[in-house]
Amino acid sequence: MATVTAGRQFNPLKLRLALIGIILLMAWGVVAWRLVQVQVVTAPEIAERGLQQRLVSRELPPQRGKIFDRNGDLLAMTVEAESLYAVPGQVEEPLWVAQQFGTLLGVDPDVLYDRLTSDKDFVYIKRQVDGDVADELLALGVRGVYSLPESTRVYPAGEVASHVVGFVNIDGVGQEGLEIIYEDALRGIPGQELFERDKDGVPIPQGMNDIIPAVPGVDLNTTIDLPLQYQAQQACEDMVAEAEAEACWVVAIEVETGAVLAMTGAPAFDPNTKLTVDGEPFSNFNVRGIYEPGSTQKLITFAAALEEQTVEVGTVFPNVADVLELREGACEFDDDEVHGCYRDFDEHETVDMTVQQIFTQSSNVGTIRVAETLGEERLVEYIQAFGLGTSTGVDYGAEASGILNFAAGCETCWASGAIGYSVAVTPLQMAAAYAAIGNDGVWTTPHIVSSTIDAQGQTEVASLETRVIVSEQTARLMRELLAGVVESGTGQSGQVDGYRVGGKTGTANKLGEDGRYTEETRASFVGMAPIDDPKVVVAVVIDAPSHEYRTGGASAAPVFSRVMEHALHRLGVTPDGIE
Amino acid sequence: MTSNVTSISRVRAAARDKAERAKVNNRAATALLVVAVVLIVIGLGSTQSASSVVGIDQAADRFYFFKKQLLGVGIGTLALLITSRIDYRIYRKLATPFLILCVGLLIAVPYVSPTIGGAQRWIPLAGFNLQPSELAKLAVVLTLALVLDRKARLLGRFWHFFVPVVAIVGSVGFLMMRQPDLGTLIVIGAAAMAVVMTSATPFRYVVLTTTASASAATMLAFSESYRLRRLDGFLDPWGTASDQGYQLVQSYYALSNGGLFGVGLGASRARWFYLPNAHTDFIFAIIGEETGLIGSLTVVALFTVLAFAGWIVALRAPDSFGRMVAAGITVWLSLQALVNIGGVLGLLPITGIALPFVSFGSAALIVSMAALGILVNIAQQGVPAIRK
Repeated sequence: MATVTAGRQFNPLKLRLALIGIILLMAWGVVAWRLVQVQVVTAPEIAERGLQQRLVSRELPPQRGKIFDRNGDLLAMTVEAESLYAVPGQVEEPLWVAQQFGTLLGVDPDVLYDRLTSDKDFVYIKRQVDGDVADELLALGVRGVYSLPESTRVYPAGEVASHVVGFVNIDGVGQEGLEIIYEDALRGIPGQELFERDKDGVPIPQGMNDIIPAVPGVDLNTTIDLPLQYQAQQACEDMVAEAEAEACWVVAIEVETGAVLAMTGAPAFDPNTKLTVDGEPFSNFNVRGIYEPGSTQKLITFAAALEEQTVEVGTVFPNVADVLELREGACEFDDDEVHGCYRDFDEHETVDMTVQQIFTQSSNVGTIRVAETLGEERLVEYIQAFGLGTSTGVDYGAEASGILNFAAGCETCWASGAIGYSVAVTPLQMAAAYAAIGNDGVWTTPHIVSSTIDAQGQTEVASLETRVIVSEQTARLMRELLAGVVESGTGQSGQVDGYRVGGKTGTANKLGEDGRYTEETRASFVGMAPIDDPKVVVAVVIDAPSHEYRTGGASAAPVFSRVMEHALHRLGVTPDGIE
Repeated sequence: MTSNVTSISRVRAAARDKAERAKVNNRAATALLVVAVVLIVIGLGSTQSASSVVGIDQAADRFYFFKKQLLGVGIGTLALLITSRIDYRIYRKLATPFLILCVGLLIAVPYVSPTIGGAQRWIPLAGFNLQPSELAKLAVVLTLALVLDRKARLLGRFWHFFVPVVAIVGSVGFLMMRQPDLGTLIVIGAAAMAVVMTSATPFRYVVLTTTASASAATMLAFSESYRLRRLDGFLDPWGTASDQGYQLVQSYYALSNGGLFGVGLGASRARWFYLPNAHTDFIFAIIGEETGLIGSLTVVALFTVLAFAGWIVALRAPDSFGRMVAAGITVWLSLQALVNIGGVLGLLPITGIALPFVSFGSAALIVSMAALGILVNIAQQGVPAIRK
């Protein structure tokens, strides 16, 4: 190596040391440059990816809202429970586990065995088990069996309020009744927990932990009176048993507000098991079932004629026979009414009858004569004004709108309509129509939920649609006619001790599956009390009672009487009875 | 008179020179010690932070690793005090027996070592795992410096240079590859190169040995499939983030998370089982996460100061043996830090070697502190920079 360059003394070792120094310095320079790049330049994007690796989000289920009756008693609530599940791969003795757990939990051991031996990573043993039971089973220490908290819906009033409240499915989603119609409100908004976890999934103490709390569902205050609901159901069940009927339906609404006080029926239905006592799936006939109302419909025909002043209460119709043939020879056929032959329920001599007598004795022939004075057009107008053919708008899911059959070219439909055939209604529609007469001619939308309660407090349900159908005067006249029916007409078994009651019976033959009328009837009674200032309307429909009970007066009116009496007592209505 | 005057001024000048020299020497020694102390303190703190989670997991004691490291610091301080007080020339006599001891231990390693992570590098000794390869670094530097110093006048002849270098580095290197421990071998090779560079060896031999050892290292790197896989993780960490690239990607996450100012002491996320070897090979990533660029650049600055001070010591060493030892130790510590941090930053493949003074590991710490003591001793005997 050259030791001397250009005459100047040059030390090769110094040069070599300098080389080492420069290399080291450059290397550290590169490291520093890289550090700036990693920790500053690309840091935000990479750090975000690192965060995503650690972040876990967990949904926080909201508490479902409660449902109360008008007195603050619970109809539906949500409680914490445990769901037992298994990881099949970890279960060592699936046969033994299936038998033990199946027997104790009421799950078919064969089904359980199949689940436990499946190739899934997660199978339920039973969902929403009572916490104590779950703890007891977990204490057995069976490998591969675990539990997770899961809330479950319970209905403290059981079958009593079931027709109103409905039910939820296993995942807590509303399926029927108020549970489905108010699903969005009841459900609430799920919250979210966002936290950083370590590689094993355990939260890091210094890590981020953001909680967006779940917003609990709103609570519902209903207009239902649980004791009345119970009495109504009992009355129905008793009558079903007594009259060997297929079903009984009853709805009670407050006249002034349209508030549904009770809506129930028999056979009963248990929302905890979601089946009727007969094992049939549930449907609420009060809003979904339609039937031909028969004579209860006559309220509308008479109210219309009085309002239009085509008749007066005292107007006399001469020579009212017990048979009316709107078409030549119609009464010679068997299924006469379809073809224009109308008969009164009981045979009677041809007599002169006042409007009041026609109503009280529920003469079909007389009623058609009254309707004749109105003409088809005006009659149909009033039928529609009273809310038939249109769903009432009650806050209950899948409400039926009923049927009005006044097709063009049907020569006799108007006459059928006047006496409650050729139309089909729900019990609630009829109750609402009668409530309009009780409410001095103002029809009000029936409703079940009166107010909602959330974190901000109580919110009254928005004002409901009302409409004037007939004058106060007509309404009062109609109430007197209704009172006459109960006092001296077909509806005497609808009387209530201590109160003046007005009402109307109805008996309509059921249509068979072949489209012909059968001997079976739908017996109904709709009425109100106290008649001078009605507070409550109760509508009762008995489906297919035995022959002895086949009229509204025989089977529906006694149920009405019993429910109305309780309703008046529950509301604290002062007796006005004249006895 | 004249002679008297002259002698007085000479004495004065000599005294002034001596004082001046002592000042510079003390400055270099102080710099070395301060850097070491600060790095060790940073090491203790970050070891605790990085290892507490693992400590609880493995030994139910969050101070488990901290306590062991503290014991290492104690023994290391003792070693540093001793080596810094003993004249480094004593190693002219001790170097050869020391190397023989190291070779003996390295031979024994495969028969007594537990297997950890596919490697056998340890001799279990009184509750500690002695790591002979740490001792070997020092032994190679000392013996190579001794041999090259003794043969200073014969180094112009190839075999006089080549045979001892190959004998010393080759024997240790062969034993090292049995373990296998390529990272440490690279450090030893670089330290040996520094010794050769600062010896009287002709430059052409220096170039030759550099080229030869670089080729050998490259060949070794490609000779084993597990090293090739490591290379995949280095070249494409994001594409192999779930296996080979996992550790580097987690290291990036930690450093990025730290950003400029860090997430705070004890708040590292990577230590929650995400970053493997967080308290050993990847402690620098934890420092970068908790103290940010500020902290990581501080560590880099400290190592730069260490290199510079070591370089000054080599430059001012009173004899060629001291110079070679100083250069060897300086390059050893610097390169080990560079290879470690380079791996953490994705600049170099991951080789599994510790960050000197900082990483958890008592054996490495004690040997590093002893070596630093030797450097301090040479520093204190420094003379004005070599003129010949």
